[in-house]
Amino acid sequence: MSKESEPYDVAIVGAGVVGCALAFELSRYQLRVSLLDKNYDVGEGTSKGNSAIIHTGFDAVPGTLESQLVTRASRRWPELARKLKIPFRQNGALLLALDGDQARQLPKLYKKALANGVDDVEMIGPDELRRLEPHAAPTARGGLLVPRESIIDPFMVPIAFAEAAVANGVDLLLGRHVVGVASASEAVKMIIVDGDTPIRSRIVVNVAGLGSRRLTETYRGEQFDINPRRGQFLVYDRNTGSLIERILLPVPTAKTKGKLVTPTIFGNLLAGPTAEDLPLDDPEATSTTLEGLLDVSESAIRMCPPLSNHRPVAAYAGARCNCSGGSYQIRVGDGGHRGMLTVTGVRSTGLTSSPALAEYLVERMQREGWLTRTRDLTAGDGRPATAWPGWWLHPFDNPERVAAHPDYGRMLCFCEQISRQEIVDALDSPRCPPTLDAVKRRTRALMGRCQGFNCLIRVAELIGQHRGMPLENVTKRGPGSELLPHGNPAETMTGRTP
Amino acid sequence: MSEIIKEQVRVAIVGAGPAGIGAAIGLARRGVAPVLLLDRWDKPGGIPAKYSAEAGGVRTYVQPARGRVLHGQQFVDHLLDRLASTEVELRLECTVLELNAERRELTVVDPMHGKTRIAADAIVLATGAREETAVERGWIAGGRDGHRLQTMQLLQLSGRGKRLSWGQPVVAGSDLIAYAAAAKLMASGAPLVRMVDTSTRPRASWFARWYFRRWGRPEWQCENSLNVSPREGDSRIWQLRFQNDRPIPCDALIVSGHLVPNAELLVEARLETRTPLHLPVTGACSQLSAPGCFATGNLLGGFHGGSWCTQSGLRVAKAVSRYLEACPESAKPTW
Repeated sequence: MSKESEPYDVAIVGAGVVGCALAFELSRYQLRVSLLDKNYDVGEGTSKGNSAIIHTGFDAVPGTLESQLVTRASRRWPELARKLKIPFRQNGALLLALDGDQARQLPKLYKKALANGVDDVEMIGPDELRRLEPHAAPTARGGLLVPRESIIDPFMVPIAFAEAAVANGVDLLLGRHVVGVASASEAVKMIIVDGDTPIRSRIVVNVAGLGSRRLTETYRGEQFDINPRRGQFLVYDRNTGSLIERILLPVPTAKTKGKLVTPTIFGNLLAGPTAEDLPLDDPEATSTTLEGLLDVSESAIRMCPPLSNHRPVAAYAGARCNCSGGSYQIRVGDGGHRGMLTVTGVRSTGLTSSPALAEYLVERMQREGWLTRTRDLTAGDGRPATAWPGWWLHPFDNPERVAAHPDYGRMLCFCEQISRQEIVDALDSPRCPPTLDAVKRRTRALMGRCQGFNCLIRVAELIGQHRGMPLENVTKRGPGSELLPHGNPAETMTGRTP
Repeated sequence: MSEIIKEQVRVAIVGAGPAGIGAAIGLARRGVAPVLLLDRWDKPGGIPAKYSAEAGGVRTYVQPARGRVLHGQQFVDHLLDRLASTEVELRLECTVLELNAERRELTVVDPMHGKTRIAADAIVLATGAREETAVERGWIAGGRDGHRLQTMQLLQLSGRGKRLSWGQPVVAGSDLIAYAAAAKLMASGAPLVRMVDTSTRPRASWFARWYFRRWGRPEWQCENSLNVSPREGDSRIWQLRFQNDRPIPCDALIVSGHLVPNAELLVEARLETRTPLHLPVTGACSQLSAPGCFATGNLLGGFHGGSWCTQSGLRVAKAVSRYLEACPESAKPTW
């Protein structure tokens, strides 16, 4: 971009779920918006390791901003998921009281749910519980049924927001590591990008998650005390997906919400997370540990005993952005700079609250007089029809499509039954980087029980062929994560050019 | 959506590895026809077909035959020669989506016909086995990045002429497959290959260990747990931490060997299996819990080479033809 060009109205630093949702929200007004991230795909940080649940907020602390936003977003999600073409199912949750002590806490949780505006919760006894979830712990004394808790494809959420935003004209600038923010003039900020030309914008929103503290240091005196709170998860095979229908939640303690067991929208089963506070910049924030996984598996078996007959096929860890000052820290005009907005400490509920948080942030910016909201009447309110549809469609069901494109009948990923052409389609979708993780999150290839035993090399080879680069340069998620020991992906990484 | 195409065969065999080909040859020899042999890969032969002569120059698939040592592809070629003289139809790139054990019906998809249904009087499952994932093993944790590969992927890479030139590779596992992986790495120039497993001694037989010594000896280490952690600085080098020992640097972790049967079709069809590995429960003559459904080869569990699997296939063919003698040929399909 040349120096003379107009500065952006808003630049968002961090393309996680909150950044992408904000970009989509802003894209529907007459504003020039850019979305930046140091990674080569959206949702590469905290947003990729969560429990894949859209909460109702029934157990939030009533009256807090988090509670308000989660409740507001939770009502919007069914329609939003349809418009954004994200698989979503309202399967409900069941909070299990495993002993007498926990059963005595149920009425308190019931009242809390009502105070949070979740008025369809229901206390149920052991017989009803057994009828609803025959595989749940037989010792359970009762439970709390929360019908509107839902499961969603968590990977598609930032992708869908970003695709919708890009279709509405947002500049998505990936592979740009923002190292600081400075003032270019009274009204314009200068975003300093590592090894690239600076980007100018009137408003800068710092939603860089765990990276937000580094960034705040460059424009703000005092610091946020942020650390990664690690959550480890286990994934069970698809043949366990039918064991339970609802999300099984434990009774929360003062310290943690506890480890849940949930069916996923993909048909398999997920257990976790742990809650371990680690120091900021700990390189192991997204590493699993044997102790943590054992802990998760034990609690999963306590809640759903038949799981003891099954071995988990995969494990992952996510790093929640924990702020000692409390969750949802929002600073408008941060450090005395007009046009500087910092959002951090969005912990655990970011996936759910993102659309409401985005709305809230835009309202705040308007109230400060930073921007005026004029609807862009040409902007779409969902993912464009041209977008790559998704892994759930199984195009081989349609004989005409296979006849036209035999590659729809050529399975590449056997476990999740994803054809070669579906992977090509995903690679052709707007802004899909040529990395294994990007393809994995969009298509589910490599996510099945064999974890790439059969398809890893074939998927990598296809990515290489499709983007005209050698197999050596195919990476997991960008330079530094090459599949082979002697690749040089920087030269063929297309993430830098929009 | 138009009607799904159906076809009727006498026997459908799922998996064209040594066991599946063995079963097909056995059935043809007994005059059973028509027999349909399905495989989801674009080449028949199963795992041995991945051990080609070019793959790193290591004849890693040891298959003694009349005093000779063959590599995997040679072994498969022998089998395919025998298969070619039969009437068996081999259909490649054909993935079975679903097995209906009661109706003995397979729902399959292939690029030629799309989604179709195949009904058979008997179904032989020869789906083989795969290597256990790191998490399934229960003693490997840590970061998910780094060059974490399996032997299968090493074979596919070397089969595509890629150099496996890691400097400090570590093999997790110590059976025959793990030794084959280590040999391949050493043949590609790795100065030292470390091998880690939870057993006190390597699981491979003395013959396998002796055979692979010509490519060098992996450094053996017995550990109860392994943690892959990132290192500051170079993102390509990781360190492996063990319970008591000091950490070692590593630029590729090959999670190797330790086969688990590909039993998902059985599990989804609600045929009886023994958890947690889902080993098929078989009655007399490898018959599964639904009549007319049979299992053979490495799907039955254990750790067997290609010859054993072919023999297992021939044995199941005998059982299937006996079963079919008692079972009248189905009426020609009415659709």
